[in-house]
Amino acid sequence: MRSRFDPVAAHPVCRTVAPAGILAALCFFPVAVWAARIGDVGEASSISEQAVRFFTFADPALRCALLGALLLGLNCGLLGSFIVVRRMALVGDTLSHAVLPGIALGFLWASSKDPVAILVGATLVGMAGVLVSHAIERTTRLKQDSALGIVLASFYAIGICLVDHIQRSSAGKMSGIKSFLFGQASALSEADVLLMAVISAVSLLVITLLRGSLVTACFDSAFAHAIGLPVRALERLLLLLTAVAVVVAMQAAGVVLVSALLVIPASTAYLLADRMPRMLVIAALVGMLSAASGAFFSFLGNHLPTGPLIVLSAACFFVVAFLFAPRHGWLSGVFMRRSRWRRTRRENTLKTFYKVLEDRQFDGEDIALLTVAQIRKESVDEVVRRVRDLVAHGMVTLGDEGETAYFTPEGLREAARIVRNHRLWELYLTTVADYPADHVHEDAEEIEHVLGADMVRQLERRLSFPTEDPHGKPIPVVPEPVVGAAGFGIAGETTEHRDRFRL
Amino acid sequence: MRAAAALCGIFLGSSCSDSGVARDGAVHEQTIDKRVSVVATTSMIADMVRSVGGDFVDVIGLMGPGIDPHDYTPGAGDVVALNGSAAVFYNGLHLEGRMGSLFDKLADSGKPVFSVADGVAPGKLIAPDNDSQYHDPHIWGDAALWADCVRIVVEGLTDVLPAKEQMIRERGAAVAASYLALDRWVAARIATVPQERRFLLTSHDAFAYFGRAYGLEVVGVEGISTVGEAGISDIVKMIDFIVERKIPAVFIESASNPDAIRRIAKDSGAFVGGELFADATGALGDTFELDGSSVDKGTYEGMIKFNVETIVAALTR
Amino acid sequence: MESATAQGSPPPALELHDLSVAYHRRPVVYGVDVAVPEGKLVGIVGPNGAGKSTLVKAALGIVPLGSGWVEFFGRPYAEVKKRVAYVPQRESVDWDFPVSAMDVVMMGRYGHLGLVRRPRAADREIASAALEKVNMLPFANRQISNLSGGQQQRVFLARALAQQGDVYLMDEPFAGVDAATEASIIELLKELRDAGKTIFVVHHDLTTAEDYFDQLILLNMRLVAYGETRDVFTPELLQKTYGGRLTILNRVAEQAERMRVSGPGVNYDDKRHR
Repeated sequence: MRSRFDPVAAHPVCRTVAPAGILAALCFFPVAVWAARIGDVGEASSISEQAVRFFTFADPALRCALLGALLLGLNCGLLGSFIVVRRMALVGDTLSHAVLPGIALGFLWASSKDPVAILVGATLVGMAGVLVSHAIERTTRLKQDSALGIVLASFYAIGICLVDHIQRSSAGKMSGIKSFLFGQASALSEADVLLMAVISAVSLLVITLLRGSLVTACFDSAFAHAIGLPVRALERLLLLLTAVAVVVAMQAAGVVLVSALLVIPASTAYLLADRMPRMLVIAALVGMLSAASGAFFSFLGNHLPTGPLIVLSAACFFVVAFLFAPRHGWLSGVFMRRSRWRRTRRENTLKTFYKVLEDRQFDGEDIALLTVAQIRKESVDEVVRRVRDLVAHGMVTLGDEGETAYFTPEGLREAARIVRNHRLWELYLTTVADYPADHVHEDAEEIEHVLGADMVRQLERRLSFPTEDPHGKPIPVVPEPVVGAAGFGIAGETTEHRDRFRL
Repeated sequence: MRAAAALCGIFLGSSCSDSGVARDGAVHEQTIDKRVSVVATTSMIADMVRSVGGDFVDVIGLMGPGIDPHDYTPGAGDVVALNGSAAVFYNGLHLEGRMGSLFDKLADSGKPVFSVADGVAPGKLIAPDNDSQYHDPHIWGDAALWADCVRIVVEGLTDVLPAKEQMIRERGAAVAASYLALDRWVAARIATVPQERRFLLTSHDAFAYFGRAYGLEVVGVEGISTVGEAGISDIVKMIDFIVERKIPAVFIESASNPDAIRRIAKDSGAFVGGELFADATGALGDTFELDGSSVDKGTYEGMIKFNVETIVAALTR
Repeated sequence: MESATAQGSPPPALELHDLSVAYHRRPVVYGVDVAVPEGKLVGIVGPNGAGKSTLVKAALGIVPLGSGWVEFFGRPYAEVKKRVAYVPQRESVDWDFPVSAMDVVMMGRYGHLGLVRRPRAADREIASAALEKVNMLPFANRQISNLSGGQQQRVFLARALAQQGDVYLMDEPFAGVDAATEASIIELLKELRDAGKTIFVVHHDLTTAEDYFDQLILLNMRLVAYGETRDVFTPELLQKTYGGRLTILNRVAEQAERMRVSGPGVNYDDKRHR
């Protein structure tokens, strides 16, 4: 703010580039110098020296900043979890902006940077902002996003005007107000940290004590109300704690970044955890880890601001969770799609093999790969690749020359199952859903792979155990070797139903 | 409607209420006394114009005490004042970052607009370093340079008041001389500080000219890389620096966040030497005692003297 | 009308007296008078936007009453909360919420536990038994988003069972449920009824209503009819319930709405709770 030129314009990357990239860039290319800044005047120390010094925790400024950041991470992680599961992420942003008039009023009231006056003023006004948005939602047709948007912007505007007014009228004596706008984690005092500790302890206590009731109220407020839980009061309590958390965290992270502290660690935990207690623990841990690594990286180089680095670290954790989370992650999604695609491909090959045998009325068991290639309109090489995959899965064996293939019992059962699924579905579509017979093949090509055992049984019942598909082809039976020409089912073996096929 | 206007007045008016009243008065007086109304941006410039112009001009200072010129955003009242004025004096060198385009527009429309920094020979400016594209604009830190700027004000005022040229030139010479005397006084006062203690540690970098002119090593803690936030390592390094060189005091700047400096003072054992006026003077009428006479912190001379006395007292303690 | 409140007989399980509810001053439910004795399985039937869900919510104090009063067993709801179980509409909650089936069922115990007390072993046993009852015990530790629609509905049912109430209010428990689950749920409800519980079910499907319920409440903003199913499930009354959307009441409601917000977009449906 007090620079000679607009710092944002000078460092446009600060806002736009992916977080991981910046973090790496900041670490490996220490930011260049400004004349007469401390980082350039003091002795240059290497990154490793700084890292070692960090872990001695000898510097009181570092201890304060680190401890304060850890407490904020804890508090914001816990409260952010409730915000994220209630899908109210915008509330955090609204709070962080709506508290500004309260901060200004706190300044005016105490005529100095009295943390308690500011905390009280900001919390009250922040809560008022959110309650106003609720009122807008209740009494107009506007939805939550618009209501919050209105409150966020107008409260912030009032705040800016008040801050401006204070600065003009007080001859600069209240200049500390700007630290609330932009945050300064590195300059936290012992008193600030103590306040944060008290507030985090209160949040922790409340959430631990009321966990069950809070989760019930958040999950199903109508039910919670019906069983007599004070839903309104619980919501207000969460709002109060969140508002306090925002105000306190703002000192370290600033108006713009504070909602990130609420939302990012909690979102990371949301991807990693399936249960609320675990989510709370993970969110708190991610919040504290982000805080610690933000402080650490800020300590490594010169002119590295702590607040933004904390948020960047949190964003990195999120990216890691997004990519590698065991169940909701991108990678496991890719893996699952891929394995499903492979399975579909195998099943299609098996189906072709079955057709080859069916076309010659199951006369002989050898399946020429060339014929398969002709039916599938593929090159022989491609078919060989498919067959190798099947061999690896024990579905077929290759002949000596490598030009013919033979079903294993399991392979045949699998092939019959797929063909049966296909033809059942075609029959269902034509007889029950009144599709024309020439419209159903495409659809069945997809459905055959996903029909679960339950669904197949239902189809059978609905179609009264049919034997022929709409094109007049026999529907093979799995596993009993009874009906028609498709008597290849293997007697005495039970059908394996795989749950993962279920729709 | 009236209520709405009144409400607007509360918020917008804060920027123009004091100056707005003065301007209305000026319009009346102009017809009677032939005084002209001119606008100055910072309070240092306003003081210079007031000193040179004397009774011939009404000076409207846009930025009051404690206002940061770097991020000052002109309000509607300011624009009205600018349009109604006979001439505009601003610092230049991109000090008034957000008003630059406004001055260009005014100049294009034929309004006499003067940048006082034009009075300083380019060679005397602190050159841009590899990160900053502009020269350091805080030229008032060096009273001798500030004396050079008087020339611009003299030319500007004679432009709008050709009839009073003689008087203005005489007054201008006197003001420049007083600034040069101030320059010698500052040099003498700083000379009383032992060489090894001549460090000026503040939150940012408004004192580069001051340091260069009077032989102090100026070090600021705040990084420019984000909006006014110093990293933890900056603070720790500052503490190391202070401990290593046994620097007795650090200073807070007006209109700047004191938290970082307080933190540094606490951890390094240095004491907070006081609050310095960096980018604006104090309030007019706010005086302090110096050598038995009363000095007004609202004037340029008072501001510099107050800073110097604060620094000397802290560093020689 | 049932006249169960004769001298000496027990008070009705649920009595609504002149119950009206309005959203945004637009009447949604109008002057409903019902007194249902214990041990009945009662269907609440009516077209979309007839105020069925609203009636249930009003009875439980979830939405404020415009007028009238509600009593369970002759006492206000607040005094007998623990005897009343509730199954909200399945769509009313976020099924991605990080809770397991067991967690959800355990919520049924918080009415008994209160704000601060932790669930004990006894509560866990009750919850397990409830899950067992709806054949969901093997899925107790699944996150609820990994359950099918029918399974989710069964979890909700188990939560109501865990409340161990004497009156059950269920908001469309058969919505989005497969036929097998629907059959097993209705079996369970009949079992509860036979154990003397009183069960209210907001129901959509007229084809099954006759088979499922002992009594019916036919609702279309106002009470059209209440009584034994064989008495009220008549073409005339159903016609009265479902036919003629623009009854006078509806038109008045529409007008009231229009006067409040001039302009288009009048919504008949109770959009907030649908």
